[in-house]
Amino acid sequence: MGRNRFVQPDTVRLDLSDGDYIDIKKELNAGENRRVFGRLVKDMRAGEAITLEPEQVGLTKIVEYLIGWSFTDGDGRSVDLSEGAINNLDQDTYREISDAIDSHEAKVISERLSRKNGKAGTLPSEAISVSAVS
Amino acid sequence: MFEKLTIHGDVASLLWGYRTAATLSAWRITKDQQQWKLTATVQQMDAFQARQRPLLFSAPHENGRWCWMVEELHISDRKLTATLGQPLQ
Repeated sequence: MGRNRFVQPDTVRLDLSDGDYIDIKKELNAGENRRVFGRLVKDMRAGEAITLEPEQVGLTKIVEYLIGWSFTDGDGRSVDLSEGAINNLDQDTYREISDAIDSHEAKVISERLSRKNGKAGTLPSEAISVSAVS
Repeated sequence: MFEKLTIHGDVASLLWGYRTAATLSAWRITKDQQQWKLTATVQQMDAFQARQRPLLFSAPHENGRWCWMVEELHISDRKLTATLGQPLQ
């Protein structure tokens, strides 16, 4: 039997500073990857350099990966995750999220390459949790 | 506990992990003895995800959401019927 080629809806919790965390998709599927790229491109013509949409750089990946966070407002109430809420984050938090997702993605890609090359490679199990509820 | 119970609502989802396998409307859950049965209308569905397991039925209410694991599922012509496990929350 061949391997399972479909992305499972597993989640990973990444710790941020000050006791906060984000929950992200462990891995994007093909459609989500296309959306990350598709929303990023402003203009694409055969034989020419791709023009990117500056406002979307970094954001499209965060939007696709992020599924939850621990962030609260000034009154301590949970803030629902949305693209609008992401755009209202302070710059340090935005960068922290972006860096955490980039680092996670690099780890998953490295793990995948290791598997392809026949080397064992796993993420620490305590960092992975399967979520049944969004 | 109630021997018979009916809960109904306008909006609900079938979830495969964090993914929405289907959005539902006009849903109704009846409990008869210890059996929870769901009927609903399918508004949108990802056929691949709806075939995956485990699936969770999730419906919002005033203070959060109700959740049941889906044990058996049948969808035909936008009509969904399912047998649910015990409520999770």
